[in-house]
Parts: sequence; structure tokens; C-alpha cells
Amino acid sequence: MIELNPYLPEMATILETVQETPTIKTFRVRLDDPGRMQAFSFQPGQVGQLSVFGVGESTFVINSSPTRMDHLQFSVMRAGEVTTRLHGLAAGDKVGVRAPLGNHFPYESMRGKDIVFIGGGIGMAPLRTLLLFMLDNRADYGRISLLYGARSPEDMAFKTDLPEWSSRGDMTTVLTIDREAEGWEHRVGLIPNVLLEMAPSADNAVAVTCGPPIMIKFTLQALKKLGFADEQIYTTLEKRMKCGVGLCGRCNIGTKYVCVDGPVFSYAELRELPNEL
Amino acid sequence: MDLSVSFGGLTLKNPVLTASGTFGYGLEFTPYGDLARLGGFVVKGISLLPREGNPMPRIAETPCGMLNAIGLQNVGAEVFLRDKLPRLPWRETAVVVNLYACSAEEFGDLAGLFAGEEGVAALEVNVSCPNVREGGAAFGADPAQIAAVTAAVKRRAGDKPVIVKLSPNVTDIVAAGRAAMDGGADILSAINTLTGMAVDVRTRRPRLANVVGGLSGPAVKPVGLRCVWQLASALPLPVIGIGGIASAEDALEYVLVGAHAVQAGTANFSRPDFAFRLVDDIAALAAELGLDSLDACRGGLRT
Repeated sequence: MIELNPYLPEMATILETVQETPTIKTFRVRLDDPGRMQAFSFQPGQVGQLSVFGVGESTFVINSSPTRMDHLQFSVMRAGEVTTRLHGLAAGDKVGVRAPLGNHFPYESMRGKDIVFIGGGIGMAPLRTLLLFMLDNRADYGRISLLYGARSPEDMAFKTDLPEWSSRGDMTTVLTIDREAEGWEHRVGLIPNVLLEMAPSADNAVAVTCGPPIMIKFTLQALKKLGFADEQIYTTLEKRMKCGVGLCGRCNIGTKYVCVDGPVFSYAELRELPNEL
Repeated sequence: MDLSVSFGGLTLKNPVLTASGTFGYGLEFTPYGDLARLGGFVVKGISLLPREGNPMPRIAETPCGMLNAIGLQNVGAEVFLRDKLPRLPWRETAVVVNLYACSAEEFGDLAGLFAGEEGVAALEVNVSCPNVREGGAAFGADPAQIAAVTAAVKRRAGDKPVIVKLSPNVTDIVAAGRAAMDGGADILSAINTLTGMAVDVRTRRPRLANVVGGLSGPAVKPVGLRCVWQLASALPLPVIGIGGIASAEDALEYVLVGAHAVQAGTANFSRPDFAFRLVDDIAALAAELGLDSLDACRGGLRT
């Protein structure tokens, strides 16, 4: 009989962890089965379920890039039971992985366009996979700009990536925090306001944004002011997902399942759905 | 061995059906097994008009089980007949339509829509769904209403066997079963979910937006066995056993207390190929126990 249980996680080992911020920890993992790891493929924006055995499962975007397959990276904000237990794990510990799940950023149709990334807090994680993918396929895309904001300097994740992103000549990186802090050399101000100052052109451009709901709300308004249409704005939802394969009915918004029709949606698509976000 | 069973006007190649509301319209499970291998499947509750269901969250895990308050979200009878049924392998396996309505008249109208459909093997009447505030619970709790609803369906069902799915949320399930029999039921199925609730102590909120929902899974199997045993002992109607079946042993326990067939439900959420495997597992267990057919052990509980 064919073994076909999509709920059965694959065993994986944590290679390395990075304490990004007081509440965000990054995990680099490899599937234990070398053949499965070799054959593993995913698209930028797809998610995985990480499980702590005996505790439960939770959904995270794979924030490494499919162009860099030596490990799979997940960044976890401590929020509940599963994430708290994940934060207690270290290199060498075992986790379960069910991945890849869901759809991906439409990076094919973004070719030739200017890309504006706007990330807030842990919302930077899903942007990272697409950003790295585009940097590894740099010639396919137009201007790339990144606006990444956090509450304070210590809440900035991906600190090992930021110097490279800031110094590259082929992308623009703007970092901002909510309030003045000692030693901070970048912008101070809320993401939507800084975005308006940056004033990226909407012409032949796509905005990709992710962050807390209040940030998203005002960022959308700012993008509108800059002339971005709903069809030009993408985001990713990771809420409420459970089975990951469109069967359990836990994550649907109207007729759409976040786990199979998402997690990536354009605002044009989200506009058509009931307001349950 | 021959796993086929025949009862109440229904013939199944094996005793494994899937329970309504745990197996979609069947089509969702085609990646996980060949639907034609099942004895049959009961599609999710169908109403005359499409229903959106309850607000989220609609599912909560509980020890050895789960609570659901989906609220009978479905595409409605017309869309089911047009878009779903023609794609199901009904020549190879029994497609049972579970009916949900808010009045006896509506139940009758709904039954009438399926009576002439050759792709439908039987109708299962949901008199017991506790989720929908305006209906379900009241029918299932009142023998007179069960009889009325059953009669309304039977009158319009043509030659389709009518299965009445009973609620365990009653004082006397035999009285409920007898009412269904008086209304003309051909088969009983038991049990539907037990009403329950779950609470989050930190948020002080119920874990279901609907507050209450239906409990299912291994936690309810003892209640299901007791109900099926009482029904099969007291009434001449065949019974389909439902409630917490997660293994071939569980299925045969239901047969021993008198069931002619079983429905697997919540286990489909643990592994979507569960029902397909259950067919093989029952055959293997029956062989191990030296049974030539399920008839050889049905009702064979030694008391």
C-alpha cells in the first residue's frame, strides 16, 4: 500500500539557531533523510509546519531561498505554546517538518518589474525568501528596494543580513525604528510615513508587504497614495492554518483556504473575500 | 474473505463508510485512496440552499477527540447534483447523501430531489446535528419530531433506503430509534456527536465561536458502543455504528454489539487515508480471528 499521510512530519535536525531579537529565534534545519533533503524543493513564499513532538505544530514561512539549499530556515516569534517550546530547542535537537505547503509569491510575473519590499517586525521573514531569490536572479528584476522597520534596534531581526543588504549597490535598503534610540544611525519613524518619504514609483512596480495588521492597514493607505493599485500589492497570511492540505477547514476565509489558495494573496484577491482578517 | 454486507435495502462491498462531514464530498480524498475501495461514503450534510456555516473558529481539539461547530457549510442540493455527484464513482461504491433541513416539509422536498438520482445509494437523515441553533437538536431530542421528519423523507425518497442518524444527546436512544422506525426508517445510524464545549482560561473565551459544538473521536466510542448495543438489542432495524472508530478493532467492536456496517469519521482528520486502510485492516483482523464473514460475529457479544 502507498504510504500517503500528509500529516506525518519528516524528522529534521536543527543545525544552528540565531537569537535574532528578544522574541524572534531563527532555526536552520535539515531533513534527516539525505535523499529527501536532496530532493526537497520549494518556491519562495511557501510555508512549512514545524512540530515539537508531544506539543504541537505551527506554521512558518521557509525564509531561506530555494537558490540556497544547504538548509531550510524558519524564524519563529515566541507567542504561544509551540513557539515557546521551539525557543527552548538548540542545535542537534529534533523537530518535525511538513513542507512545502501553500502557494508562492508570483515571482515569474514580477520579472522585469521594480520590487518594493515593506516588512515590519517578524513580517520581514516571508520577504527574506523572495528578496534572496531575487538577489540570486538579479538580472531578472528591475530596481529592488527594501523598507524594514521594527520597534527598536534590538527588535530588528536578520542582523547578519542587514549589512550586506545595506551595502549592495544593486538594491536600496532603508531601516527604520519607531522611536529615537542611542547609537541608531538609520531612519526613525513609522513604516507608512517613511514609505511616503521614500516615494517609490508605482510605475511597472510591485509592492510586497508583510507585518502586523496595524502596520499593513496604514502601509496600504500609503501605497494607494503612491499610486499602487490593489493588483500591484502582495502580502502573505499565515494565520489559522492546521492541516496544510485543504481538508480540515480551519483556515478558510469565505471560499478560499489560506493553506492551499494562499498564503500569498494580492490585495485585489483579498478585496473579494469576506472581511475576516 | 468476503466483507460484503447487505441490510435494509443497501448492499455494500465492505462495511466501511465514511461519516458525514469528515470526508467532504469524497472528491477531496481522491489523492489519498481509491474511493471505489470503500463500502461507501456519506457526503457532508446537504441542505436545499447553500449554507456558509458558522464563524471561525469552528474546530477545537480535546483529549482524544475534537469539537466542531462547522454549521453545515455546504454547496446546496442543486450544486451538489450538478457539480459533485457526476464526478463520484457511484457505480463502484455507495454514495449516501446526508440531508439537513430545518422543517419536516423541507426534509421532504430535499429527499424528493435525490429520489430519482441513480448515483445516490441511500439517504441519511440528520435529525441530530447539534450545531445549528435553529434546527437539528430539537428534532433529534423529540421522538414525535423524529417520526415526522422520517416519514416526510420516506414519502419522497422513492426506492432509496432511508437511514436516520440518531443523536446521543437524549435520555433514551431506543425511544428515538423506535420513533424513526415508526416513521418508516430502513436503517439507523448512531451516534452523531455529543454536544460539548471548550474554554480558554487565559482569554476567557470559548474555543468555538459558536460556543458549543459536537464532540467526536475516540473519546466518544464507549457512548457509541452503548447506543448501538441498546438499539440493536431492542429494535429489528439494522444499525450503522459510528463514534470514535480509529482501528479495525474498534470497527469489529461495533459489529459485535450489533452493527451491520460502520462509519469512520474523526480518524480521517488524523490520516486522510484512514478509511481506505480500515478496509484492509478489517479483513486482516477478521482472518486473524478466524471469521468467514462479518455475519459470523454480528451481535455476538457474550454477556
